[in-house]
Amino acid sequence: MEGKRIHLSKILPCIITIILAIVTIWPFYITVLMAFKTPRETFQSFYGLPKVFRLDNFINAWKITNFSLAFKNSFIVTMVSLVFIVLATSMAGYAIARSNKKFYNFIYVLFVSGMMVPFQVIMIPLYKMGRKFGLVNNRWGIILIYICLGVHLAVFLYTGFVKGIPKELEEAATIDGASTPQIFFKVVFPLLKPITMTILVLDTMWIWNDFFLPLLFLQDTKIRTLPLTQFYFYGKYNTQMNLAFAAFILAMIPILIFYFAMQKYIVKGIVAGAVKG
Amino acid sequence: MKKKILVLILIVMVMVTSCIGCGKKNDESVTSKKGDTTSNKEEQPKVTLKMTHFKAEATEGINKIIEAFNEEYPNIEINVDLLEWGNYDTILKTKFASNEIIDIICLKEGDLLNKYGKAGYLADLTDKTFMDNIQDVAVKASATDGKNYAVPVDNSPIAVFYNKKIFKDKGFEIPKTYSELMSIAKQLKEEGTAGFALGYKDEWPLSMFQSRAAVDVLYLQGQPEWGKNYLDGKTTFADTPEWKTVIAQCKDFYTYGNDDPLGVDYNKALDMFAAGDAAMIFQGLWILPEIEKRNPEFFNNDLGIFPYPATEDPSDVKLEATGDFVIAAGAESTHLDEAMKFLEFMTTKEAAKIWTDNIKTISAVKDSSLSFAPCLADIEPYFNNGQIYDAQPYLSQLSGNWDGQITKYIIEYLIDRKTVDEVLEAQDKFMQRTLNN
Amino acid sequence: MGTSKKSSRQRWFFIFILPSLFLFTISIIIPVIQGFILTLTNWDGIQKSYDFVGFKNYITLFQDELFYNALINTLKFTLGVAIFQNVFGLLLAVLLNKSSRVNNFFRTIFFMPAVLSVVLAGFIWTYVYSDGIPALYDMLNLKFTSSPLGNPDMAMIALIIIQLWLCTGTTMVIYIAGLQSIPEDIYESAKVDGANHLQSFFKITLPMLGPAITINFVLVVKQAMMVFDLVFVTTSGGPGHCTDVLSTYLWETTFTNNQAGYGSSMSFIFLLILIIMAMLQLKFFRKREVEM
Repeated sequence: MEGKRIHLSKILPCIITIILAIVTIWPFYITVLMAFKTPRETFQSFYGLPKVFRLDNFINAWKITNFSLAFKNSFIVTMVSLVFIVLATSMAGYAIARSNKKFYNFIYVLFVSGMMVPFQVIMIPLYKMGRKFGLVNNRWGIILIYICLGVHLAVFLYTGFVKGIPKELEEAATIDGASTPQIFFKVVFPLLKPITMTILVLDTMWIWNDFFLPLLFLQDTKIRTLPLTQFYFYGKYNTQMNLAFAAFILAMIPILIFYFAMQKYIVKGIVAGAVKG
Repeated sequence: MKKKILVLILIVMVMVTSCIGCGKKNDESVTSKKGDTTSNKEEQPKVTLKMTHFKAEATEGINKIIEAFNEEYPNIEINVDLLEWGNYDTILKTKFASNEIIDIICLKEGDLLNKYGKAGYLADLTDKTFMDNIQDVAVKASATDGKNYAVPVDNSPIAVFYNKKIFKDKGFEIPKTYSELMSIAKQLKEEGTAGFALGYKDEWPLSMFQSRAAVDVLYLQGQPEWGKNYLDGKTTFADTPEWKTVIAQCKDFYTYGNDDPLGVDYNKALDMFAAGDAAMIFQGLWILPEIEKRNPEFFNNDLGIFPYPATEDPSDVKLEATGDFVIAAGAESTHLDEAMKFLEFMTTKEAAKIWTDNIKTISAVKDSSLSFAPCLADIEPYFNNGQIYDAQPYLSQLSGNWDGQITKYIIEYLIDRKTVDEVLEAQDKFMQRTLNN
Repeated sequence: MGTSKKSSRQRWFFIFILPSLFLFTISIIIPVIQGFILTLTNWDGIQKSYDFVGFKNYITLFQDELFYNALINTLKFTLGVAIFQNVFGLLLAVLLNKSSRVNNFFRTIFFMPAVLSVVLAGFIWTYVYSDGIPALYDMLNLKFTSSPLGNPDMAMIALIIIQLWLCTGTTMVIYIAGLQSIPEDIYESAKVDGANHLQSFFKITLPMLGPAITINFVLVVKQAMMVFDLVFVTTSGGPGHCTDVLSTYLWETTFTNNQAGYGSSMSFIFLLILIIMAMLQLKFFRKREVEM
């Protein structure tokens, strides 16, 4: 009896996991498969492997979607936004966590409740403002907006994290005569590495994949980001699914590479931020 | 650490600004390449116009027209922005709401054009001489409250496209009454071919159908001012039995069309029609390049068109030839003269030919050819005998999204979520809400 | 000396918070105020002029059956997602808790969809539903009737499935983190006391996962209530109004029906609903956390 029970409790989880994993991978499998096939091959056998793994679809998709340009745009927008988000919000998180005044608490609640605001509420006023200050159709404009929108979550995470750092180190530094900014940049900020990584990772995924904001603010074809070019491309070519899927894969590769490289940080960071928050 | 971070930030900023600088340089080189169509030093100052449009299939054709335009006006450069149709209205609205200037704006005839015309965003073209180059019917039909705010570019008859081979094999004649059409469709469906290719996952094909059917059975059957009457409170959807007829016609198409119409989108419907899995499709001329792409043999030999017979009276059968693509100048454009020059160019036979050759819809310019697609021979007689009508003046009597909304309700009826009466009631309620705004 | 240090610190705190505060003000506070003013008008989004109509928009909203339809659909969607995403997330977390090559491999797989753009996921799944599943049925010699996205009864479920595919990975990760923060010895002593797997799960694991459960529910609910991209790209609220959610109806009202003022009032009520739901959840879960 004992032997049987051990077997079942080991096999059942395996089976469940494998089934769920297959369901999860299945759309990816279809995507990859379609990208390598021609329409005729798809027609003959939907799930079968192609005879030859041709790169034609990829080459065409690269050219048509002007991939390198879109990639560059996405890259610039994401990177610059991240730098400023981390800077501004880490400082704010520190101030909120270490200060005891009610004012800061109030601001914290304000920031966090900002997470609830649906984008549609602020969309037109934002666009109007952007136009006034020449920020539309301009990379800096959308970067500014990403920074603004990134404030809530980042402040939330930083505050929670800083609260969990023992004050002894800072107190020691104060005794040594360090000024507040010195304490922050030299002592505290390095300790924030885990949560900084979380924010970098989360916000990268958000900004890189964001579609709606670029749709409104980046109409000039020369500065369009990756998701936007994908959308327009699909609208035009959605009868040529093989080509479309090749384009999707091209768009997915950067973010997947990022994911595999940063995996550890994603998990570690979510741990620190979520559980503590 | 502080220093390290500062240095890092500096490096990033330098990289970033140099990248952005790179981008700018590329822009400039691109623009100078475009303007370099002339090597001689022109006296006239270079003017750059901004143009938006939404018709992806027309991009090549429009670029060719611009190239031809530049041969006459090398100093006027036009930057074309192709926006996606689904969001075109939204993006335009947002731009206008924030006072952005677009010099040349492409629109669709009808509600969109009327909206922007009335709001004052489009230049008044009523008295421009170049409008005389356009067919009178088109000029009249595209007017908003008697004024012309855009140049009609093409004319896209909306009718029933059919598969001549299937008709011949089954011995069908071109139907001249609604019941003839339905018996053809019924027989086809019973014998395994879908009568109609329905791509109702995209709601617009259904919307287009119900609105044209409404024009055929309501407006043209003695109530040409129904929409105006509605706005004056003299009638309602629920009180108008002709709407029930329209909905019944939608139901018939649904019944004799392909399986799962709500899961099949427009593109797949075209696939079906081009492959012969469906014998007919109610669409506009814009599908021609799409059909040619899918099945050139079918396009050249077996594709036919006949006007939709909505009633039992054969003499009612007329070809619906409504204006589709129109082009306007932004009222606040700082280069209005140059924008007008381009509009004028669009009314020339040269531009018309480039348009029909590339985009394959009928040009609204007077005396332009119909020979770019074999199936057009079917409808040429209707043009020649004056048996055409434009649906726009009827459709644009009701403003707002009335057609999109009633289409959604009709879909709910088709899936048995609403009765016909409930559809009309809900539509009236919706209109109350939006009109009283 | 002490006070000046304190006040200099306070000054620095203020400087530190200034950038974020400024950004927040111009991007949220001011637009929200402007947005609220809009709710009192009948602006259609294009015309340059509009009139003030007081609270008429709100009155209309309360009588709008399409709004209630969207609200109910959103709640259905949220309920389905909240329950299943947490159940599956927790299940996977429990199964893949131990760090091993195999487990890491599986964790990677389950989290991968979270990395994708929702728009791409929507396109891919639309195709999976319209062509992938029929091909599968074909192989099994069954006839497939229709894509669930076009089927009024199945469409919402189909959407929930896509959302689960996209987001369960994140939920799983948070639960794993929660699980790993539970010290091993508690399980050891429970085993000694004679508890089996199921008992230790319900009496130890769940209570100690309190914070993780709270976070997951709050995040998942918020994300589900605000869903837009997914619905927009796959069904646009169709067929008919069957999958219309608050965000898509809001979009339709503001942009397709040209009722920017009315739409703005809807967005504020939407905001109110979100806030109330968040507060209710926090209250509910925090209370249970304390009890445990």
